[in-house]
Amino acid sequence: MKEGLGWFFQLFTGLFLVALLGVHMLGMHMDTLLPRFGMGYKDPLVFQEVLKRGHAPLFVAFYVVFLGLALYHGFYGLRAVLMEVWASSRTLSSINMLVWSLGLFLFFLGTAVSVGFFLV
Amino acid sequence: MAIPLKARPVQNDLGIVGWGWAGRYGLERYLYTLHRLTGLGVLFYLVLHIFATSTRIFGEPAWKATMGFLHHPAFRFGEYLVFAGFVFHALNGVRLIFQELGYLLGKPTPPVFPYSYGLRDFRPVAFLVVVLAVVGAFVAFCDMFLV
Amino acid sequence: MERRVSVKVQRYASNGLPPRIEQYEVPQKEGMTILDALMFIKENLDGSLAFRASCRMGICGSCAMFVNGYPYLACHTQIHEIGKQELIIKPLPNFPVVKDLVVDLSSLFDRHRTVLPYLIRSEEPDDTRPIVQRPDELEAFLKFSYCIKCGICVSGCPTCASDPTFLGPQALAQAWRYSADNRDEGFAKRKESLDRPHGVWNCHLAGACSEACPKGVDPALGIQRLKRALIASYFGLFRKRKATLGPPVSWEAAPPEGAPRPPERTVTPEDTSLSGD
Repeated sequence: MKEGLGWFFQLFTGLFLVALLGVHMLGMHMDTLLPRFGMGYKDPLVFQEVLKRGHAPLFVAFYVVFLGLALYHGFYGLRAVLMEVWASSRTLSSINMLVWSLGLFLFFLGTAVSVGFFLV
Repeated sequence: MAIPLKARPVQNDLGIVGWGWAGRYGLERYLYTLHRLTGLGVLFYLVLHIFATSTRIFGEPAWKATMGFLHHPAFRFGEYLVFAGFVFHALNGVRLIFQELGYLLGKPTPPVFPYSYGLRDFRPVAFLVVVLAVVGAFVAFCDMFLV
Repeated sequence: MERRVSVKVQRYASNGLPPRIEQYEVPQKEGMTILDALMFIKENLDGSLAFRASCRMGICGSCAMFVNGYPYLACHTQIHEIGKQELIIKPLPNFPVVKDLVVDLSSLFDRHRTVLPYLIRSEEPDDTRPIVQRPDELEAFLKFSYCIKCGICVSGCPTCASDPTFLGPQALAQAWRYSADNRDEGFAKRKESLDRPHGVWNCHLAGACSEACPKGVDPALGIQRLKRALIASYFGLFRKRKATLGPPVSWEAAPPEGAPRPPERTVTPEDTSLSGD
C-alpha cells in the first residue's frame, strides 16, 4: 500500500470518528446531563436496552462500521508512534505485523460478538 | 597516530524524552505530545471496551457482573479521563486535518525580518482547541461526578 | 562597573569521558553576540574550547547551538536578547557531538541529498532563452530557499528526537522548495524518497522547526503543502503553471528604447580556460 494513502485514510477515518464517537460518547457515556434536556438515553447500559440495540439491524451495522474505522484510526496511530520509537527498516515489518494482527483480531472479535448477539 | 577506540562522537538524540521537553518551544509542540498521549489512552480504552462489551454474548448475568465490576470509582475516573482525552484529541484532530493539508496556515510570505510563520499566524485556532477541550472536559466532569 | 556574563559551556573531548560543564567569566560589551563571548573565551581564557563558526552574519549556518533551553545561531543572537547574566551553552540536540559544541551534521546533509534538492528539467538548458517566472511564482518558494542548513529545525523536531531515519524538517522543506518551483519538473522523481515510511508522513506538525528557524524559512508550512501536493498527485490534481521560456537574449543587439542594458559578458564561450570540459 502506498504510505500516503494510509495517511490520507487516517484523516478520513478521523473526521468520521469525530462525528460517530461524539454521538456515541454523548449517548452512552454522558447519561446524566442529556436526558435532563430530553435528549439521549436514560439508562443505556441496562441489559434490556442493550438487547434492544443489539437486535436492531441498523445498530449492528453501525457497530461494525464504527469498530472498523476506530480500529484503523487507532492502530495506524499506534504504528506511527511505534515506528518513531523503534526506527529502523528491520523493525518496520514486525511493527506492521503486530499492528495488523492485533487490529484484525479485535475487529473479528467485535464483529463476531455483534453479529452473534443479533442472531441469538 | 591511531585514534583511540573510545574517541567517538557522543550520541545526543533526545529520544522519547524529547517529545515532552526539548526547549522553550510554543504551544503546538506540546499539543503534538498531548495528541499522542490521548490517542494512545483512547486506543487502550477501546481495546478494553471491546472485551468488556463482548461479555453481552454470554447473557444478562455476565453483562451485569461486568457492569457491576466497572462501576468501581477507579473505572469511573478512567472513563472520565478517556472522555476528556477524546474531546481534546477530536478537536485537535480537526485542526490537524486542516493544517496538515496546508490549510489554515496562510501563504508563504516574503522572508522579511521580523519573520512570521504560518502556525503562529493561526495560533488562535490552537488556543481555541485548548479552550474548547477544557470546556468539554469540565462539562463531562459535571455529568459524571456532580449531577 | 563593568558588566560581566557568566558562560557555562558543555565540554566533551571524544575521549570516552562523559560531557562536563565548565564556567567562564566574560566582560560583556554592548552589542556582544554569543559567538563574540565564545571567541573571547577561546582567545583569552581557554584555547582548547571547540566550536564552529565562519561568517559571523547568519549566512553560513555553522554556529547553531543550544543556549538556555533554545536553539540559536550564536552569531545572530546578542547576549542581552537572552535576558540573563548566565548563559548555558550546549551543543545542538539530535546530532552526535564531536567535540564541545561541534556536532556532526553529516546526517543532515545525507537526508538533504535524498530529496534531490535541485531543479530537474526535462529539456537541456538553453543559454540564450531565460525562463520567465511571475512574482507570485517566485514567492511560492522564495521563503523556503533561505535555508542555510544549520540544523536548528532538526534539533527542535520531536519526531527527529526519537527517529533518526526520519527525513526531518530541513530536507522536507527543501523538497517543497524545489517542487513548488514551476521551473522544476522532478516532483515524480522526488516522490520516491518522500512517500515512504519515515518520509513526509511522519511529520505531525509540532511546529518547532518553524518557530526556531533563524532565517524565517517556515519548514512546517512547506511540509504541509508538500503533503497536500502528494495527496493531490494521487488523484492527478497536482498542477502548476509550466514556466515559459522568454525571448532570446542577445548580447549584441541594442536594447529597446529606455530599457536597461544587460550586464556585459565578462567570459566568452570561446574562453579556452573554461571550455576545457
